Amino acid sequence: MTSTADLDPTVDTASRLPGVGLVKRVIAKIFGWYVRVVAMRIRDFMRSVAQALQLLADRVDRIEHHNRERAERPLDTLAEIAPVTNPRSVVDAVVECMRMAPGRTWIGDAGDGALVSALLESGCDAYGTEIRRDCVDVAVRAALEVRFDTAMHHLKLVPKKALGGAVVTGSLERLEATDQIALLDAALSALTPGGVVAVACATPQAWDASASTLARDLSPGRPFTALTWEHLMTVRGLQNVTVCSGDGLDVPRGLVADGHYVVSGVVPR
Amino acid sequence: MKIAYVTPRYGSEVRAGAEHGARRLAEELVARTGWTVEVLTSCATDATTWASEYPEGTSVLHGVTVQRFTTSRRAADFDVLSNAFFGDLRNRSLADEAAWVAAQGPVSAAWIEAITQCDADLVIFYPYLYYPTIVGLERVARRAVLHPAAHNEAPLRLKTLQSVVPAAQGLVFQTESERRLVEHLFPVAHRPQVVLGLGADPVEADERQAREVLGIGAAPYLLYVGRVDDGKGTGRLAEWFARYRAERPTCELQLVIAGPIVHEPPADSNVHVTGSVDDVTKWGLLRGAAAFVNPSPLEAFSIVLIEAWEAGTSVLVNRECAATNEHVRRSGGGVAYGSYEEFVAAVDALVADPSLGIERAKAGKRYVDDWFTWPSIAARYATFLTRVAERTTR
Repeated sequence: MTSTADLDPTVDTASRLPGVGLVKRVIAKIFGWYVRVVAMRIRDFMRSVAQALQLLADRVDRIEHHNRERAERPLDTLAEIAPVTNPRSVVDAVVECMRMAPGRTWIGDAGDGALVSALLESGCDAYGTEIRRDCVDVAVRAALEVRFDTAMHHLKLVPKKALGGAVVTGSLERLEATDQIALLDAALSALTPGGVVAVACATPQAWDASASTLARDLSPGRPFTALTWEHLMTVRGLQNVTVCSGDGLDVPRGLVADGHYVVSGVVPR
Repeated sequence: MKIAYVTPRYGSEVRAGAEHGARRLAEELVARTGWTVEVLTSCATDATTWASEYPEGTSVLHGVTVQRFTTSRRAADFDVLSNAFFGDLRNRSLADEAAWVAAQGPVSAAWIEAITQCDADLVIFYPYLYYPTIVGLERVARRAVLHPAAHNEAPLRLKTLQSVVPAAQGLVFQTESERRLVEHLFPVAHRPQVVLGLGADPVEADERQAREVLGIGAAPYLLYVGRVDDGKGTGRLAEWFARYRAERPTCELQLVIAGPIVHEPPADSNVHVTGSVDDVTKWGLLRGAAAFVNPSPLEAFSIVLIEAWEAGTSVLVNRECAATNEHVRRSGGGVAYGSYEEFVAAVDALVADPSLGIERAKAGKRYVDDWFTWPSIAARYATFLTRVAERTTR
């Protein structure tokens, strides 16, 4: 016995009885016509469904692309007007936070690599990303690992739980509130249990007073207070959430230069 | 510190590609750091056959200890097998991939054993594509550094590489575009990385001598140097140039295509295909060219662009190639073309105003001086390797 994977639509119409073969052939033709018409309609219907799905997929692609561009645009453009350096006291506070980082530490908007360099000197394995090409070039010439990339784009590429530390700074101050929080969440997702996150920022008051007109006009957001970051880290279950602040507007549990703060927390093990 | 390179071919006669990069970096490390550097490689010089040209055993080349292993030869029908394999890559199993990797070679059990037993602080694999890297890297993963030398090609999508590439403790890229490509395909964004590139090694050469050797008189010429291969875009370049000249009968511009011939370009009286040339002739040609053209859509770095700028010549590159476009965009040392019309416009502009080429060439030279001199490359590379080695011993 042979088996076949195909369905053979032809039926046997032969008959030993006179006229019956003819009747069978007529019936087969009528049924064949009927089946063909139904099959054509099913095919047309499926084609319409496929086209509709394709249109839907194209639309979803466009929306995703638009959203992705929208999400990354502030990081690209705003980084170009962000200040390059953090005050030494902020650098020292970040270095102190990252002493306990159980693995590589990433620094967003690393500028010319001052923070990367300070962390390396302290024995921390650090690298950064930066969108300003001239800053990247300065860092690379100094043999520092600062890559030409946006913070959010880089964090999307980092495998989950791959980092021991994350320092979010720089253009963060100028993002919309949702984008600032998204950056924190992306950093947390990249951290291993026991990993340390630190947000180094200007206070809103200091930013209002010091930012250029261009930065103030074009920025969709402004810095959070240290208390807000402390709250955001606490509700995300981070441990040892600590604030170092230079002014009395926040909770002064450690000192950095006036108008700046560093908030850090540890991902639970 | 002791460093070991694993690379499929090694020797002064390999003058381009990943293996050239491996040799020059190994030699620079020996000369500038005093580190002990050894190379584990095959006896072959031809990557299409892996035929043994060198004797098996240990020798020393420019201060680098070279340990060679006899490998099996590649089957004559490999290209046919390979095309069929990549025609249906998605449905290939890991076993199928392993068979392709072995068929591509170069294969030597003794070589893989030597990699496993190697006592170097770091074992550096260069490039990703061949059997010794794909089979050997994971055996020394805690000490492994990878120079992928990757461009956007089918083998980069082998499922096998999803465990090999991320196993390396450090990655060395030749361009930003290579880094972006590898980061998008493999979970390595958190690994230590450096974008390094390679330096040029210019030799004393005279343009007139090169012209005499090739018999091209005093006519201005565009130049391509490298493998003459349709995959490198040389066939299309010759075709476009012949068309360009046919449309401009009074133009004197010539095209010189120099390098080992895999696919003979279409014949034309204004296109001079020289075959392989020696270094002196190559540098003479580079110095005398109206512009250097790299028509290849797939380059991981393109050392010859760096050489062209070092020789004071501007460049034209294929817009499809991410690496050469990156060089041109960052340096301002040339232009990219994406169609025949753009090619024509770029060449016409050079012919009409030679000062344009001179300005671009200066910009290219500044780019080379900034990023691709051997002392600065070696210093950044040594710092990077030291940091990776420190991490591996933590």
